[in-house]
Amino acid sequence: MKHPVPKQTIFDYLAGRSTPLEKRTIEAWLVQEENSEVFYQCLYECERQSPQYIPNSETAFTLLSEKIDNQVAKQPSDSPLRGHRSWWSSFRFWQIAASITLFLTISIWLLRDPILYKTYRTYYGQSSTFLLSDGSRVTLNANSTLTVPRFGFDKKVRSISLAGEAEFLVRHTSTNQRFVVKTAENFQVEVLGTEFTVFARPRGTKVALREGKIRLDYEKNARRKKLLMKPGELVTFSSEGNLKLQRSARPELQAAWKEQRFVFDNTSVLEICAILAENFGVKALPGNEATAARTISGNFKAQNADDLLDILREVLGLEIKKQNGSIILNSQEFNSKPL
Amino acid sequence: MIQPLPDREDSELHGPSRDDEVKIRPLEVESALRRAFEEDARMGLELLFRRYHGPLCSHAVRFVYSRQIAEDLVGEVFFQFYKTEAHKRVMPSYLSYLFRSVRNEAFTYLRREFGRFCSLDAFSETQPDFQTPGPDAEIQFNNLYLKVNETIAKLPAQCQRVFMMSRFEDKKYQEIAQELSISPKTVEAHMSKALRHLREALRGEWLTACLFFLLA
Repeated sequence: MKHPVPKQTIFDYLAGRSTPLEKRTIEAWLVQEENSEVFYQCLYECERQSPQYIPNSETAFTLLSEKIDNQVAKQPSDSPLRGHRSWWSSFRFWQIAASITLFLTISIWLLRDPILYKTYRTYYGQSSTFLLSDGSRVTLNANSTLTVPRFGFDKKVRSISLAGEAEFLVRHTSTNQRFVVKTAENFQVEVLGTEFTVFARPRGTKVALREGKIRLDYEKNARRKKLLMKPGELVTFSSEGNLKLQRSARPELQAAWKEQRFVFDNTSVLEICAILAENFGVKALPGNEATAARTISGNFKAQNADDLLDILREVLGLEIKKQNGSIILNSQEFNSKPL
Repeated sequence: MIQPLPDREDSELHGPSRDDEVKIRPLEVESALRRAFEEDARMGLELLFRRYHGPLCSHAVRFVYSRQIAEDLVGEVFFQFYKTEAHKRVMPSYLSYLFRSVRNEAFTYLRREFGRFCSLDAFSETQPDFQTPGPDAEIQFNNLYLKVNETIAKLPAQCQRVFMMSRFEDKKYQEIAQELSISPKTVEAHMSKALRHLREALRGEWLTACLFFLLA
């Protein structure tokens, strides 16, 4: 029962010293299952004759015995190999730790606004009233966002930011805390307890004061300026930085939107188109310049964009057409003109 | 890295001239071991361990290049052998069973550390009594450790030294840096270089091994 492959050849093969031809022969020999016992015997002898190193078998056996004894007492847990302390598993550990840290840092950075600020938001066609922690009341018009710091709002300055339109009823506190409304531009309103409306949308900022006293801080030509407002005044701040002060007989009309009312005073169709976009997210365009320049006055109730469009149709006789997802407003006279 | 070792049992097998002896001795050993297990499993295990632990570790280390890991792998194989009472059913020999298991464990370990992309279910089971995967596996395993060996032998001298100190002697980067009077950064660079070489060298091996296991 001699195997056809000499032992020395197998030894050489196992040591990686065989020629490609020998390798081929041995592999062909190995494929035959009946040779595998001989192969393992050779492997054993090879490792015995020229071991890579001598392990401490005594200690290893003691460890194994302990493990078996422990195992008798309790059910097997996971394989010990999983908890291996080796440099690459520790490298992997650090890799994972670093990834988690990075992830957390980025998340906190991205989430810093939701963490630091509480945001009140209204959607198109919706208005709602919020009570702030200092007792002040804020009514937000449609499509508006109010950001209030979660920490330190009750400290020295009650500072909040607004994008959109809101009415404030500011509570005067015993410690005379300032109440500051910041809008997107370099513009802020400072109060000590009063009622006022702020309109802060891309096309400009408007502040109407009903009661009390407020101060506007703004920047013009990179210079800081101040303006004290008296009740009944209306200030319009254009996006170019120009300030216009008007007396408004009925400043409460500036907050007519609270009752879903729109107060127009020689308001152009172009402006109403802007209002439609701001309050209801509806894209409407005047069909031509003549239509855009037509104005409307009066106090109208409109709960949604269709109500407002109906008003335009009835009062100005405009024709309303839908076209490519936007609404085109046209004066009927122009269309009905005979050729 | 191969240390010559004088045979402890007097010249059990030496060269082709003693082939007949080779044939008989292992069988005797095997039956003696089986008898011991029948009498007392713990004693059988001790005999088995004393006989095969050293060669098995020596073989495992060719794959994993770390004494610690090699010994853990081998320890686990013995543990499973005892726990699953493999001595009652293992045929034809304990010797081939133990070597096969150690090679499977070593392969699984290497695959986990170096070859992440090959995730065949056939391989997730690392039980030592895992279905013997045909004789082709033996060739694959041989090629694998020879490849590891070859790759490490080809590393530049200093890189190889650092790799052996870290991996085989289980030394910390700081210690290696002090011993070789180089900076820990350099040690790290050497290590990542060695690892990269290993990973690249083994890439081809995984593919053949995985394919083969898929077919087996």
